[in-house]
Amino acid sequence: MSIIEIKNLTKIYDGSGFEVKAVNGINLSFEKGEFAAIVGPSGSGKTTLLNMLGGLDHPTSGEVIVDGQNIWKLKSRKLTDFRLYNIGFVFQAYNLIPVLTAKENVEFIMHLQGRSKKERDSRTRELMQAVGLEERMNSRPSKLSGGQQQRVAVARALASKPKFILADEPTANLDSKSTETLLDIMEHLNKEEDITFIFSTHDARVVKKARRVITIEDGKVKSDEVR
Amino acid sequence: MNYSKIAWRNLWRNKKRSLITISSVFFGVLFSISLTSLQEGSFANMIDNIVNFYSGYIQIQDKEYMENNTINHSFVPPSFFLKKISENKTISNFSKRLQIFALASSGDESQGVMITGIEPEKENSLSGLSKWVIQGKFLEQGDKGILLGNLLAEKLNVEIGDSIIIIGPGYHGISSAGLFPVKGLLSFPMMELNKMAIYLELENCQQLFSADNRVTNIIINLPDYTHLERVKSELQMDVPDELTVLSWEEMNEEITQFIDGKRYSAVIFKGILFMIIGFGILGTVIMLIAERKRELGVMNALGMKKHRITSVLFLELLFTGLTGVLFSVAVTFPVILHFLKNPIPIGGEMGVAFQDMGFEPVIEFSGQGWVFYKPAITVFILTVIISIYIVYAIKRLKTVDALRT
Repeated sequence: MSIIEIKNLTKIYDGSGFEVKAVNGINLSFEKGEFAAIVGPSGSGKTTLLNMLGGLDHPTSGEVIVDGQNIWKLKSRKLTDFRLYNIGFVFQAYNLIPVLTAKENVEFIMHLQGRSKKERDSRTRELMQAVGLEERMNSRPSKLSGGQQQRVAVARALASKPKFILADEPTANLDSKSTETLLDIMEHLNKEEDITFIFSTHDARVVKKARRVITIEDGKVKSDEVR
Repeated sequence: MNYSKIAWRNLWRNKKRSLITISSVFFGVLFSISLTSLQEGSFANMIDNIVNFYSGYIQIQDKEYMENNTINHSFVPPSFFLKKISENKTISNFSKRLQIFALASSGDESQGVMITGIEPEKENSLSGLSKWVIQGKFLEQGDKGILLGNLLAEKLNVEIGDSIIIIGPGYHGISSAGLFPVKGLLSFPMMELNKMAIYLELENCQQLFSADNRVTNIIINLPDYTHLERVKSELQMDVPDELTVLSWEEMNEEITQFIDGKRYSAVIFKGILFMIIGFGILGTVIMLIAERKRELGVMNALGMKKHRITSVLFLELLFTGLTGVLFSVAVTFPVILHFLKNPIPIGGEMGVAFQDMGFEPVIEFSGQGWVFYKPAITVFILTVIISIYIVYAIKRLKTVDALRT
């Protein structure tokens, strides 16, 4: 049974005197536990699709249905809550909160969810262990390497126990070794916690690991290959 | 981890900028506290001088006396009313006076003087008159001697034991004159009083001016001015029709207007000062929101509601203001405390000018609580006003655009 359904999703940007169809009537669905990569050249609409899927960018038309609910019918506050409880985000530029330590960054989401300190502590420890950064829990992001920061970002994305994780070019700023480590961790967590991962990428190493590869060009799905 | 922690840490992300903003609050509040303390201290000193030396907090007079200060507008205090005054528990003390402008002379010298008939013991507990006696002795009940200002004594060329003649208009136009031995010399901090003050025992004075049992004023003192309005209205309920109850402000309208004028100009000055500080803080807020746009977008993307993001920024703003205020209070409090105990004496021409105006030549400070907390409240109001911009900026924040910055 699919947890995400995308129906005829379209995003049109108004240029000066002309329209740009970033996403053009895409239909897709994702099953629980998928490890999928959305690939395509720059400007093909990958990030726009991911943003609409994550409730960040309003579609011009179409629906994003998660567990039977069209998320774009939700009011702004409800949508924010929806993201908090259902979606984990991993950004290309890590985007950790610089004034918080690695541990606090992971805890941050759970704090917003109102979870108890005990629960936060044990989940944070568990996730930091899973991403191999238990020793760096009290370091601020500025003291971590790019790869380490992205691993913290993955732990943060998982902290809320989301239904799915959206990762926008998560390896774009990482070296080969860090990319390999990160992908291994994500693959492991995908299997262990049965969490759906959807990547936008043009990194061949990510594509290689993905069990489903969706290719987008000019805002349309060109191919959808399940391995 | 709570929002205050994030706000506090954010405050120190850009140390230089935060320190500059905090410094602007610090100097603004420091200046405001010092100015207010100095001004209010001077006003309090001024009021204290007026209240203690001249008017008391409240006076009972004939209704016409304010307009026409003559003995013809004196009155015989009704005993029931005096009883009411003595029974009022808030009134700390009261005393009757008979005041007349007359002429004093000795040998070839003569001088216009202000004669005050007093009840020595009561007057002393009311105005502490005896502490200004520098030579001779203070008056006693039934005393026939007089006290006079030291500069007046110099002018009339008299010493203790010498006599002076007082000539003046008595009650209902009777011409009055008498010879009085000098019992003591007074030296007030106010030059004007030293030049023209003569004190007699009340009955002695009433006899001189043929005004048996008559007084021109009943002076009433209170523990402090906070009781003024209540006691005044209590007395107004019992006061006979021909008499009136006046507060020190009503008797000294010029001084009240002077104080009000100074206070208004200080308010305008401080208003401009805080406006400048406010714009400085606003500039910082605009800058930090622009700098952190992406981070704020990330917070919202992760599920932090906009009102919570606003709260974090508001807390940061509040901490900026509070830190400045706390440092200011920490610096000004001991300094003001020191000057409260050790007022600054004013010497030279300025001191003489103060004395000529009838005021003690010292710079006093005020240590009242509001001197410190009012600027703090002003800074808080400033931060609340500036936070309107935060609400506006965060409301307009488009998460997806913020993530792209």
